[in-house]
Formats: sequence, structure tokens, C-alpha cells
Amino acid sequence: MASTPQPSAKAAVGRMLELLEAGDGEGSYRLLDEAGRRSYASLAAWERRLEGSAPIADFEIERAEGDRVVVLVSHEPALDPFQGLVPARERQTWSAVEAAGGWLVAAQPTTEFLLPADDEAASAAIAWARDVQGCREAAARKRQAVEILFNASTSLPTVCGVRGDVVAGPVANLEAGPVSADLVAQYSSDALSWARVVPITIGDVRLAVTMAPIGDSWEVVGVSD
Amino acid sequence: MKNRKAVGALLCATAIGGLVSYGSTPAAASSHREAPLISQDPVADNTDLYLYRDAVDPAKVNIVANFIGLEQPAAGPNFAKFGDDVMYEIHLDNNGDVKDDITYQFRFRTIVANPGTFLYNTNTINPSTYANQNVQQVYTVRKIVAGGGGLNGGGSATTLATDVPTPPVNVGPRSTPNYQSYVARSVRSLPGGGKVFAGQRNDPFFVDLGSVFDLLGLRPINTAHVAPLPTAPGRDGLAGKNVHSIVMQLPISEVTSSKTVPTVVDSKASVVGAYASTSRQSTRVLSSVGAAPQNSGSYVQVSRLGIPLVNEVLIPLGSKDKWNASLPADDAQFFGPILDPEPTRLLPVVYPSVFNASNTPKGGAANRPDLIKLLTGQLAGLSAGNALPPADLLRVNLAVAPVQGTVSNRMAALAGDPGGFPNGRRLTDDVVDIELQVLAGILLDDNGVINGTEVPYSALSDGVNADDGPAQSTTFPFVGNPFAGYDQPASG
Repeated sequence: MASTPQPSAKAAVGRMLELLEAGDGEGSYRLLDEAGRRSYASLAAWERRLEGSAPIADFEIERAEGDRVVVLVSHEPALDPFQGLVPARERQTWSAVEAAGGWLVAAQPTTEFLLPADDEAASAAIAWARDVQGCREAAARKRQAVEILFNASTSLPTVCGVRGDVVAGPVANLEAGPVSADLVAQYSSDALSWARVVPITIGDVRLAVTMAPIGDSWEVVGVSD
Repeated sequence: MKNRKAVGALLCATAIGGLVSYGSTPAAASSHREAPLISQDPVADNTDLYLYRDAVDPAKVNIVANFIGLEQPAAGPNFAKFGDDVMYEIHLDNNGDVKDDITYQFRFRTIVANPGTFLYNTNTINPSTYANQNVQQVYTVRKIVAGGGGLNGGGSATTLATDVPTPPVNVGPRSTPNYQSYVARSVRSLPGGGKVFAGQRNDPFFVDLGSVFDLLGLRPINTAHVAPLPTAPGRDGLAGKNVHSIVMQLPISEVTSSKTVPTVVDSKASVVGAYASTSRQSTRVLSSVGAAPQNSGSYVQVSRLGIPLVNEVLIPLGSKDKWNASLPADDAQFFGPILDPEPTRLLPVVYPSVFNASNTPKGGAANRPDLIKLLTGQLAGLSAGNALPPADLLRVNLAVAPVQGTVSNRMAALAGDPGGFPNGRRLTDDVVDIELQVLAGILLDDNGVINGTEVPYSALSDGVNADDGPAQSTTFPFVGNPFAGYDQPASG
């Protein structure tokens, strides 16, 4: 299938994103560089990758520097085990290569999730913990990104009705290790970049609440002792 | 004269085998550990795919995709389970273009209630709640309807069910007594009228794995082998082994392009092609401190299975991993070895008293119209004029009346039964014997006898005619209950 090189790296990346946004599998395949064609040896293979991928809601080219083009891309936010985290916004860096008298594009960009502020993770964790403390199970669930929380906290069942203020400690990144293993298995190691851990103290009970950025807010995804 | 002697030996061997002990030994696998890379990755290894119209409810089609080959029932403390980092998929092509039209995706998640014990279960597991099952697994299933360019290209993605529990493995009478009572909680109804189940089952595949891979030996005709041995009944190499199954029962109207139950057999729209696959993320980083591996990147297909035994015995070793990574739409690159099957070429070498240059089918598209028919849906009821593009898809014609699979119709199409393989595949179809006889040329002959001999093609059999385990059922999830670890024989 013939390539359709574009006059510049910026034009090639812009065209690629237009075609992806429009759901044009064949058109976007024609823009793939040689390495992309090796990874996706046929249009069928490329289309299969696109099926089920998070669709692009909008994009804006931020800047072009040589063969690199940086783009702000927005999506309908989601967290599921098939796509992992789909952030509301991310910064994608695409690379383009000169070929066939023009420019073609790599199959995948590198991405940087644009997340809500960390201190909002602490506020959200506190609100969830207060619901749990107040035995408001349904309200707490609404603050969760998943029905069954990750990790196993033996303290969590004791929180309902416990006395004391809910206090949050400093927000930290999720670290690789036993506590993050299940989350990483389900959502890939991307979870180590987007998840935040909020230490919560309620009276004598101490919890480590793992938060996921769903759109512009944080929701609880796991809790451990 | 020489051939007549061989025939006598074959028939005698078959008769003796029949008298000795058929039915007393259990059975075993179709794509188990079939390629170098996937043989090292059991949880991602597709072993078999079954696809058949339901004989009890002909408006439904049943799909069984099996994984984790040669699974030992006694596998504690870490019993077999689906891979939490594997994408399991069942792909359906309903318009004959060999591209996915509908894909069902499955992702599993393990939940350990108490990491402070080594036990899989801490007491008898409650069949209604799975209480006391310390290591549990749940899954999410979603349906992708393709549009050609992703979700913005006319496609859709719908999560059908989340956190569906899998049943405990069959540990033994103290932990999982009356195993059937554990199944009901893991059967989930789907929107649209379907059902889904995922969990451990008895491996329904059967083959004399030990003999077939000992220089293509068939015990019932051992004396005809170039390295003769005493004849013996077949032994199911998967006897007593379990597998992990994903089972779906779907309304036919949900999977056909017409959204109806088709009625015209010779119509492309009546045929649905399927394959199952597994994928892993492209990058895996191991921890030096015992943390779980970190996976990242796009999902890359590592295993696939459509027609049984294709990768197992037709694709040469050097191409097997590539085959597993490729799509049916790109199968033309493999038609060379598929249409010139190595097992066929080996027949005169292994059974020189029966096969020779003149009665062994030659390879190539012109000489193997039977295999072309297999790959194009013509053995599933389509005429040449309606033949589909050739591909390794398990194709079922949903306008053909269903026939309940049993031991007595195990030879399916070769015995005049259109309800089984290669029109889809039922749990009881003897695909080893069917394919063995097809590769030897039975569909190229009219009289059922190998040319120049009096040997019937039916003598080409591994001697294993049925699974050894708990019977396959007409009730969802169809595949028999798994063997219990406690009951595993000392010999394994």
C-alpha cells in the first residue's frame, strides 16, 4: 500500500492525527514510516490496533522541533483494564522521518499524562475516607474508580464508625513493589506515573489510599494498610 | 502383495486394539505448547478453539476458547489461573473479509484476601459466595465492533460485564466438594441474551500425544511403522489434565452480519469465522527486588488459534512464532507449508508399506483442492462460487442444522455429519483422526481406501476416540468439570 508522505514533519503529524480523529484506518496506515510498517505488517494489523483504542476527541499542535512534533490531545477520560488510563488530556511527542520525498510518522508517540494537581488527590482521599468513616458506603463508592478496590487492607473494615479526625499526609507517587503489583498488572506500569498515594489517618487507623486521575478529578482505586 | 500384508496387519491391529482396552484409559491436546516462544508462556497459550451451533437452542452459537495446556490438577499452592497481564480475545469475522468484525476481550485480575498465609483457600470454599477462597480471580469482558479505523471510524466498544468471578480450581474433596456446585456463581448473563463463563475445566481435547510425537507413531498400527512396535490401543496424552476455558453462548443474531439466524446454507453471510488470541504488552521489565514485572507498551499478539493443529503440525518450527504473531488476514505467507503438509510428505517415510510416491498426495494448490476447500469455507457448506478468502479461521455455517456432538459422530464430516468439524468444531469431534485422514488424502479419493492398497483411510487413527474426563454437557458451560488435584494419579 503506497505511502502518502507530507511536506513537513508538522504536516505529517497533523495529518496523522486528523485521520486518527476521523477514524480513517487506511489513510493513517499510509502515513506510517518504515519502522511502523514493520510493526504493523498489514492494514489489517494496523486496523486491529486502532479498534478499541481510545479515540481522539480533539488535538492541537503545540510545537514542531525538527523531526519532533508535540501535540496536546484530549480524550473522553476512562480507566479500564483494556486501555489502562485514558487521560482527559495528554501531551504526545511524535517523531517523523524523511522518506519518499516527504515526511512519514512513527506508529506511536511518547506520551505525558496531564494530571490534576496532587493536592486535589489529598482532598479527594479525605472526602472518601470521611464517607467510609461515616458508614456511607454508597457515597464512598461514588468516589471510587473501581468497584473492588486494589490491594488488601485489613484495617479498612474497621473504619466505619471509628472516632477521630481524618488527616492526610503528603501525597506521593505510587512505587513499584507488592502494594502496586496488582494495579500494575491490571493497568500496566503506566500506573506508576499516574497513581498517587495519600496516607490517611483516622484516629488510630492508618491507611494508604491509592488515587487515580479520572478526567479532572481524583478517584480512589486502592487502599492498603 | 506387500500392501495386502500391510493391510492385514493394520486391520488385525485395529481389531486387537478394539478388543484390548479402548475406553479404559483417559485422554489429552491441539495447540498445546505448539511453538517455541509460547511453549514457555503457558498462561498465554491458546490450546483449542471450539465453535458450534447449539443443538438444544439452535438460535445460539457456542464458543469455547481454551488456554494453559497440560495443566496439572495437583498444582498447589499456586494453582493455575489466567494471566493478569494477558489480553485474551475471541475474534469473529462475519462478512468473509478475514478481518475482525466483532471481538470479545477479557482481562483478568487476581484478588488475594489475605497475603499473610500461603493457602489458596483457608477452609472449605462456600459454593455460593466463594468465602474461604483466599486467591480469587475476576474478569472484565468487553465487546468491540469494528469500524475499520477505531472507535471514531464507526466502531464501538462496550463493557459487557465487570468483576465476574471465576470459580475456584478443583482442589479436592476437603476444599471444593461437589465441584459442580461452584459453577453457577461464575455463569454470567450478558446483555442481548448471551452467557459467559471463565475458569478451570477438564481439557476436552484428546490425542495420543506420546505416540504421535514419537516419529508420528499411531499405536493401533504400530506394526506398519518403519520402526515397528507391538500394536496397542491409543493413550490420551491429555488424560487427567485440566485447562482454563473461556466459554460464551451467544445469540446467532448477535454474531451474523444480517443480525438474523441464517437459513441459506450456500451463502457467505451464513458463515462466521473465528480465532482466539492472546496478547501481551510489548515491554516487560523485571524487578531486582522481587516486585511484580512492569509491563508497558502496545499489546502484541503472542498466540492464536483457529483451525486445530495448523500451527502444531503444518507450520515449520522456524515460522511458528511468526505465525502466532500474525493475523489470519495475512495467512497467504504461510500457504506454502499449509498446502504442502509435512505430515503428508512423511507418510511414505514413516509407513512405507502403505504409502509411496504414487499414492501420497502431492503438495501445492493445484494438488490439494481439499485443503483449499478447508481454508475457504467450502467444507462448511459453501459452493466454490461462494468460497471465502483462504485463511486459518475456524468457520461455522450457522444455516446448517446443529447436531449434538457425541462419540459416535466424532468423525463429523468424514462420516457424513455436517454438524461438526470442519463446519465449526464440537467438543467431541476427533480432529486428530479427521485431519490425519484428510492430510493423507481421503477427500481426494472416492472409495475411502488408500490408492493401490486395501487399507482404509479410517485405519489412520491415533486410537483415542474420546476425552477421558467428566462428560461434556449440553448445559452451559458445556466443558466437563475439572479433575481434582486430590484425585490426580501418582503417575500424573
